[in-house]
Amino acid sequence: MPITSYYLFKRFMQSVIAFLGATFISFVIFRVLPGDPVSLMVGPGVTEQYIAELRAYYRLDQPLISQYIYWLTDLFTLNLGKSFRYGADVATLILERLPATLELVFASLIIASLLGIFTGVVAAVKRRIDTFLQTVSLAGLAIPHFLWALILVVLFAAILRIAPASGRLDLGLVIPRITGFYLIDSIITGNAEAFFSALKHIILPAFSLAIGMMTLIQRTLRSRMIDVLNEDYILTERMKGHSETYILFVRALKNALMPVITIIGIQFVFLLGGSTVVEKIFGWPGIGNLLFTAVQYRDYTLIQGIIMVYAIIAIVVNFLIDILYTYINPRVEFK
Amino acid sequence: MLGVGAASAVIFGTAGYLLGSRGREIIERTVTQILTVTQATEAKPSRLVIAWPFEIVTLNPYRYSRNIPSESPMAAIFDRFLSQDRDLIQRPGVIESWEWGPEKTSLDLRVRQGIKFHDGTTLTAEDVAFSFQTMKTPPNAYAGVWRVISDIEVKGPYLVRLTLSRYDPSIIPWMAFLDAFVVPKHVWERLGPDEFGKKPVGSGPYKVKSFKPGLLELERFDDYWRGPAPIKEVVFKEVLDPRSRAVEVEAGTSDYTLEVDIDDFERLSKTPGLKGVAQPVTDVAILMIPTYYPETGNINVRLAMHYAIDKEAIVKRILKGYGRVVHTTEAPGYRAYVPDFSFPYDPKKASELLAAAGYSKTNPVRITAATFKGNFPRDYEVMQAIVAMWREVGIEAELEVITLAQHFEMRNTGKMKHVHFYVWSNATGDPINSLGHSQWPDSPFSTWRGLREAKLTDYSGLMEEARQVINPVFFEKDEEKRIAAAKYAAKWVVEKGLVIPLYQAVQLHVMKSDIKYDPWPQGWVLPYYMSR
Repeated sequence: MPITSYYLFKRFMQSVIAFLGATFISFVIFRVLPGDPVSLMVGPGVTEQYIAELRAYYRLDQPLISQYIYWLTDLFTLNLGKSFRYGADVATLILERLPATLELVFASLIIASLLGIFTGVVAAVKRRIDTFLQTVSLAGLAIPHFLWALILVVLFAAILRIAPASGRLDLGLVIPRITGFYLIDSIITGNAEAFFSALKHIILPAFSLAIGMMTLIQRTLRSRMIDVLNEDYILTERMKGHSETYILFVRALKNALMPVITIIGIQFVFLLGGSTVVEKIFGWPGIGNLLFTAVQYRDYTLIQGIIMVYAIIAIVVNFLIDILYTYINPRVEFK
Repeated sequence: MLGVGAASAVIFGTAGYLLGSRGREIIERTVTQILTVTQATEAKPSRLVIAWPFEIVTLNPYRYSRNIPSESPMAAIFDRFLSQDRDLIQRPGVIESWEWGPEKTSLDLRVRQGIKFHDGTTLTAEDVAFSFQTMKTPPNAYAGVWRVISDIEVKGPYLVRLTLSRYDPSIIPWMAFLDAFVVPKHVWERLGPDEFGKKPVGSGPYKVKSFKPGLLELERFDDYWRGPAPIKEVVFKEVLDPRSRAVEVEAGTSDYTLEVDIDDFERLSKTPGLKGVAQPVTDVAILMIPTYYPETGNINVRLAMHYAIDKEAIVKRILKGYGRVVHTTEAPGYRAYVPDFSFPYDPKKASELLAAAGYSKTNPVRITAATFKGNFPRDYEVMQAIVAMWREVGIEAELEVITLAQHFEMRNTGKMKHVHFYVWSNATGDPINSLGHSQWPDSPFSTWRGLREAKLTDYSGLMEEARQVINPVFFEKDEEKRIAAAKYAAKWVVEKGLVIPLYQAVQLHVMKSDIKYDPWPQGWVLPYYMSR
């Protein structure tokens, strides 16, 4: 039994503390930072009395701790409040846009994992290619997401014109919302046109987000693979007469993957953060764009809602990674 | 986009050949679908795609404050109470005529007959009254403005009477400004404000075809009272990054965009199939100077700061000509524009004034200047140039980058730096919304507010005089006298060094060559006036 019920309980309690910590810190930081949301909400011509009333309406006249307690109390009734700026329900705003962000992040994760693992293994066993891959990966690590995004958009959208510059789908196409993931929904509804259109739109943003993670996976896996390939059990496998492909991709890779899984877990959260800038460049209608505007206008309720979603995703992903460890390496136990 | 189709055809064609007849059949079908998709995205003259620089989160017209261009999608869906022409003059719109009552504390509004909402119902006085009532109810963004309306009466099917708590000369300009849109009472009450923001019904030239995050698709409303729009379908596609917007029009996936970088604008203007239009808009870049510091409390220092700035050079070299030098807060076309007034660039005079204040190049006055970086075109670069010009005469300024939110907070709490760069919008053209709210001591938006709130010392000693000089702009009932007072006040605040007007901003538009459209000075993008 690699995961005990005590571990699950302990982990749950840790998650609750992490959640409260993350939300409280973000709550305080954004309210302490200079920047008045009410002044950004009102136009010329208003009276100071009206500004004070608005402040009271949004409970901004209350002490910070009371504001946080109000927010938590509302959370129990699944009420994330109204956006300061848009007046719309924060939960609705987030749910409308979250699938777009998650689809982008998952696509990046898949691209980064597949290419990173493949090139990592190749680099470990093919020394000539290794030098080339190390040089390329250095560029991948050195150039940030947003710069990759700009390079890709200019090259493939403006110059070569083989990929769209922005958006999620060609105009005129409609995909009924089932999961909110266009690639999945188009498959479910059997809409090949929409599927290819969605695929065409996601490639550039997903790739620009994936490059950094891909090179990290590649470099980590390469060094781990070199270690593993020198271990005794690999020699035993070779003596048993197994094929080199089997030894590499089944026996060695399984053991070398542990640090990669940790990276994927950590990087997932970074991808979420990185998606904010990539979404802006590619006009991708996700919560990253929403967060960008929310921070600009000090839309506290919206910022808080989005950070809460990020915190939940981070907690859940880390928990899933722990579980994954036990499947990849049954010797790992969580008590 | 045909490139995608062609590339796909080659790839899938080769793969199909290798896979045999069944494989070829599947691949052929897929290629046909891809080509159909790519052809669907090609430009259609009946549709216009606008790469839009602002986020469209809700179409509830009342709920949030915004800058002027970002309200364009709403201006396509809804009608305003009044319209406004290119000379910034308010004209009849849904309100066909208006008449002030005695003492100018009531206003009779005659509603135009025969206007239909998109659902086919008729727009009446009930809808107009309801719209005013909703706008003036908190927490709607501009409720504070409409609070001056103390009573709203429906006096007939097409007549509304507003009673004001006091005379407000800005009420008519406001009826053609920002949130002043008419909504159908029955739809709003049925849906509520949140749902209405997703599925709005207006009486404007376009009705909503679909609205989802990042994309607003509109189609022509054939029963529009001014006549149907020339272009059948209009799409507002959110592309927040300026470089990506440039790529959108360059790649042909959008037909129109605005607010691109100056370099991209110049390049795209020369690209075959595209054209660029630079339109001066009702945004004036100014330096706000709070007087609660001893340095800026000294009139010699304030005026020296102004004399030392070569505005022509800034417009020519930093903004590459895309700007227009101004000498007061009132740009050409504003009602209180003063054409014969100018404030010269005179570094020698600046040095003399600084010497009188006890400063020189070897003993400079040290100040901090706050600026934005990227909120307005080349804002930071403009301030860098100004700081360099000041250094030449003996003003040593440290540049500090702040956000818009910080600017408001500092302004309201008396924590401004010595100088703040800001761009003041006033699409109404009325002096209340430019000179008035930026300079009047009782305005919650002027530099004086922080001074009052934090009970700081006014080292200039000018606050009371400023109040007296600007009061008529807010309270004078004789319009001719009010505008004359505003012109005087506009000059006075500059001569006293309370504000340094820099330049009128220019909005950069890039569009396909076949589009016929003259951008509006207010900064709106109005598809109704576009054709191809």
